[in-house]
Amino acid sequence: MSYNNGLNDVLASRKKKTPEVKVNGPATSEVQQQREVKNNPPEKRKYDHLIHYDPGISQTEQGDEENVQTSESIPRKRFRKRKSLLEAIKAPDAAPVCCTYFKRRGRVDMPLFLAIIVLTIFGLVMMSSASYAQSLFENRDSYDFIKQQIEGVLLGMALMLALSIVDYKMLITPFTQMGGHFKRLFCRNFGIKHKKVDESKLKGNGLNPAHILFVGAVIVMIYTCFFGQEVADAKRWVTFFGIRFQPSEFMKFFLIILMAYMLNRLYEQRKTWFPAFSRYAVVIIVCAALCMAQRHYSALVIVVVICYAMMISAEVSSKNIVIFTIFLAFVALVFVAFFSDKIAYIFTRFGGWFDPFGDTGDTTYQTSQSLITIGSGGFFGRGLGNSIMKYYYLPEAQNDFVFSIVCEELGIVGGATVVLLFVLFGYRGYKISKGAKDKFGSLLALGITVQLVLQAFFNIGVACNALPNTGISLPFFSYGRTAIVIQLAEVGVLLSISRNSDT
Amino acid sequence: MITEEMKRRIKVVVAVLLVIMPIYVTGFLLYWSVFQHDDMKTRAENQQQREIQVKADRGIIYDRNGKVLAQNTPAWDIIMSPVEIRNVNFDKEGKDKDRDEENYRTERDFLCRNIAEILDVDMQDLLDACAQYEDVWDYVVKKQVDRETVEKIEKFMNENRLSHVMCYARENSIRYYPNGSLAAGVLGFVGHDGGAYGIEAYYDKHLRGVDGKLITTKDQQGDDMPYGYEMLYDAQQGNSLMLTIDETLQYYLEKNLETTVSQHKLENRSTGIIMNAKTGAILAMATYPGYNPNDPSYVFFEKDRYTLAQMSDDGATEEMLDEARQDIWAKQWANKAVGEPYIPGSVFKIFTCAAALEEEKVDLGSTFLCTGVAEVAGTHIKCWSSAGHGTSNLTEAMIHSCNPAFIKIGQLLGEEQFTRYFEAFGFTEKTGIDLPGEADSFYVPLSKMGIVELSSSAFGQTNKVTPIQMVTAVCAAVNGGKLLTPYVVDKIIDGNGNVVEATEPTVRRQVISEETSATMRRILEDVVNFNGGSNAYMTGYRIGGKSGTSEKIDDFNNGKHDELRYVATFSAVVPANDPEYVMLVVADEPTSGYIYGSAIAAPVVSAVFKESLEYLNIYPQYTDEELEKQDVTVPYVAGYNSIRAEAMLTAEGLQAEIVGSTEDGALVGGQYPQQGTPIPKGGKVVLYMGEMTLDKFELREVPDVRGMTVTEANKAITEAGFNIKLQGAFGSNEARAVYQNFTAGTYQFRGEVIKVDFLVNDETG
Repeated sequence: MSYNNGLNDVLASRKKKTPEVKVNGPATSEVQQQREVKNNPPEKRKYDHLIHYDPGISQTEQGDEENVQTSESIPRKRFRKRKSLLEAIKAPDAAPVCCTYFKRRGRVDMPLFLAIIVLTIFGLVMMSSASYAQSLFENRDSYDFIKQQIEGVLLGMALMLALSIVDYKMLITPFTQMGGHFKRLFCRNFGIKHKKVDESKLKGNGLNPAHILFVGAVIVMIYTCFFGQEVADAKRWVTFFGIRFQPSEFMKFFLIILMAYMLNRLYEQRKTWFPAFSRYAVVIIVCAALCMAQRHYSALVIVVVICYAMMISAEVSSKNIVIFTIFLAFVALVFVAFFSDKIAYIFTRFGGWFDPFGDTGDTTYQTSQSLITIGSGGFFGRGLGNSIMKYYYLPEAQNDFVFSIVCEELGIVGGATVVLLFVLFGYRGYKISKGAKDKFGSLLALGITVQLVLQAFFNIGVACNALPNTGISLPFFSYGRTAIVIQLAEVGVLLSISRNSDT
Repeated sequence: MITEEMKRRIKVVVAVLLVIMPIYVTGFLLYWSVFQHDDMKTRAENQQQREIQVKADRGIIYDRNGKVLAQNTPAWDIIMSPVEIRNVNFDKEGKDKDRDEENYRTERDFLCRNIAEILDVDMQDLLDACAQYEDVWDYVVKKQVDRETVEKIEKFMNENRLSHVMCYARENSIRYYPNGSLAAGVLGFVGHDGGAYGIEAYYDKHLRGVDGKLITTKDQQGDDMPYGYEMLYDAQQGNSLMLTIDETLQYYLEKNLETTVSQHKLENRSTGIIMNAKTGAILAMATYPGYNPNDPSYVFFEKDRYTLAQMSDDGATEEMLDEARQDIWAKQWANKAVGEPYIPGSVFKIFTCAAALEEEKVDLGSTFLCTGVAEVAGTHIKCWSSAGHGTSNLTEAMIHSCNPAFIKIGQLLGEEQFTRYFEAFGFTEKTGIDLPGEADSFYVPLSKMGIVELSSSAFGQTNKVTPIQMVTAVCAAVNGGKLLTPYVVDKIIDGNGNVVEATEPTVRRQVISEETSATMRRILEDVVNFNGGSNAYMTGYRIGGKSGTSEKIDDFNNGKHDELRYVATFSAVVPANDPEYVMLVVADEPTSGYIYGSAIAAPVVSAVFKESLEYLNIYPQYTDEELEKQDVTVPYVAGYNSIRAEAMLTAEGLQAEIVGSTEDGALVGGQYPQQGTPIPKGGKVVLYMGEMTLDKFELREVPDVRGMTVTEANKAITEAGFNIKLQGAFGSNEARAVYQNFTAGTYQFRGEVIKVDFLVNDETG
């Protein structure tokens, strides 16, 4: 967004000029800033007409209504006369809509945004190289996979931008208040005057999107358990309207939203079993059971780790967590005892972990080939596109083992770059989470960050045999349209949070 | 609002995620990527690089004139790929596994059934191979099939639109012997992993060449890759061999051995060797019946085939038949000339004689008395002639092959001297010929030799030696006393025609002196010329030789045969004054009623020499008397008047016998024998006067002359109105007619030339 650097200055000064109405108490530094602004009123500048366009800026939680109120006192008569958006656009000096978008509530987190762009493009390039042979083999077209992936990326980017515009709090706004919320959103974005909405209603209870999404995901998961496509003795895939996807991808995202919502709402009762911890436990157990039913143990691990990370962060009582953990461990033991034959392959995988070149079993074969792939890359690799192992030696080269191909073609340099990019992503996620203005945003940001980064390191860990073999894809790199759309959507939500966050 | 506690907790959670996890993972990454780089790279190369064997062409075997005896000819292996059959017909991504499985089974069965039918193999074998669809990429269905079969397979695959990755032909070359069974015993044949017998085995290292290889980078499915590299190590063609064997001589030898085998019903094959007496080069070496190296498993000997059929009829189990077949194969593939020791019999007297002459125990004037039996330490040893030979000198003793005389000579030599010469002539060691499977001889060592053993050894009835030892020793006896190393490979030639290795004649030792050797040559020539010419005698040539008839006393004693069987041998030297070639013929177990080497083996020697000596640039030198007996060619006299015709015949040394009227200037209308027919000098040509056609020629009945002497036979045939052509030992008074080319009792044109073979049926010579 370098083209409006000048605008940024103006925006910054405009922010300071805006009278603040603090609901939850102002920070000292902000008070000082206000004073400074009062003492040094800014000069009228070139972009002032743009600034007039702003319906009001809020850095406070749920403080938009007040801002709208106060903004009326600022002289901007020219525009006040306008009745509709159409007229605003027609006006010769009308500002581009994007300016409004980025200006409102502050900018999205640039480092995060850039990291995602780099990751996605890097991922596309590597996936294109890795999938070349397999795509040719399966579909007689070397570019078939990458074409599909690009479709996914474009859709995902659009969704990401859209979600970053939308206020993430919409996800937990009861449907009864949705109308007002949208109206507010619309008016705020396009500078149209609107009435103040009763704040107490916004904080109210009632069915909200988080509930619906989670329940929907659970229903699809259950459906998948029975009618999904069986791949390698497990039903994890389902096809709706010609789109084949793993519902667990959705479920992880929606679970994060629901957990963040519950942890936020029940923050005050965080030390109790009822109503707080019991609800968390039910949600976790439902998700875990569904993953178990699909024999998707890697998803199970990720789900549990995310929930634990969020619960710990939300100051849920450690005692409860420990008791719950013991309970889970007990259930796991019982499960192992009763279904030892069905999960025997897990033990074989553990065996294969310690001796990847031991025998030529299916998963050991994957791991050994992955290690050969990584190892044959050395420091700088064979060069982009020169992988040999992708020619059917390394199974799932475009998918679970795309990282190995990165290492083979670009060496450990390329591999380390991927690791660093994910660390950067995680760091920005952490900053957003820490700086978020409300608990829901903070927990949601944390959940999303943990999910993507954990998945990335799990995948890399499997590729270099740091972890036992399990089918887990590398976010932004692995082949999978639905997956990349969801991942980018999650990033969109993260960006939306970042707008309101002190990063 | 988020609390400070929350911020702290988030920090901890993220710290674990962003610090510990990346460090842990990067550690592993570093380990595999950098520290294990070399190992992993090797592993990667091992699985990415495919080595394709480029088979080297096997060297060619030529005879001494550059004629091809063994060469390579293209053939194909039919390969089936169980993995591909599975892959092509089983869509792994497909939804309906059962249908795929069904589809795969149908296709597989169809393919296997048809391939099995075309190639004539067991379908079950193919199905068993298909069961290993996990890892068997190429299963060799049948090796070395011809182009026709390959085309059949191609046609079948194309007609049914089957993918060629499932079943295809791979080119491979096959060893081909253009002359079939000729020299099979010497050449051997090529098995699945190189030469199996004969020269093919002995020189396998040279012939084989160095296989090349093509190293390529392949994808996991074995296909070429866009960024792979290729490296080709050329195959190095095997060295070719130039043998000392002469294809023509070999053919003559085998042809005549074949005749002997059928004529005398040899039960245990026959073998013959022709060796250059000056260098040790083997010009021909044959075993008959041998085998056809193009199809080595075919049982070549009719008698063996009969035995197998008999066994099969008698209800022998498959194992028993198999065992019998194995025995027969082992026997037919072995080279009898180097691998089977025999009792040399009287031929061995050459060495006893030579040793005694060398040691001056006897001289040409020594006399020996034979009463038909000799008593040695209480044992009675009979001479072949029960009447005895009376008093004879050394040459006569050799001519009559008198056992008592040689017992005496042996005793004069003594055990020690005899053993020394036995060893000196190379009978205790292998000759070192460059052929595999050379057998050791069996002999009585000095420590165990008593007077009885010495006496029987002296005329060759105790020790067993191989034919190659025998012929080498005969060479030494006549070539001036030099014991040579026999050899069959003259030159080894590389792919560019350069001589890599040339065999030089090797003299192992001087056994006897030149003088003794000269004496031996004289004695041997006398043996053949005795009594007007023995069975080996040839007009115009100086041939020396010695026959031998040994009793297979060991086989009789150990009960292998119920009756005593014999080995008939003959060894000849030509020309006798300056030996160029030595030939040995061994006829094992004749069952035709004849047993003597002189009667069985000598005619073979004579026949081979007759056909081949001029080819070998040894020309006859006839005496005037011999020239008189030469054949002449009948001139064309039809169309002339009788006087003119008669004059023309007389000029050629022939007689005319006129049938019909010569008046009114009648012309000769027909003649028999026809013009161009060889006919002995003095023969009669029947001339028909006037218009004549062949159907009006006179016919006469052929008389039976077998068993008659030369004079008797001549008289009988001439009286019957035919001409006689004498063959074989007709010079000898002892000779009897054994064969006539027209069966007695049939009618032939008057004047027909009837060939009669004469044979001296005793051990003389």
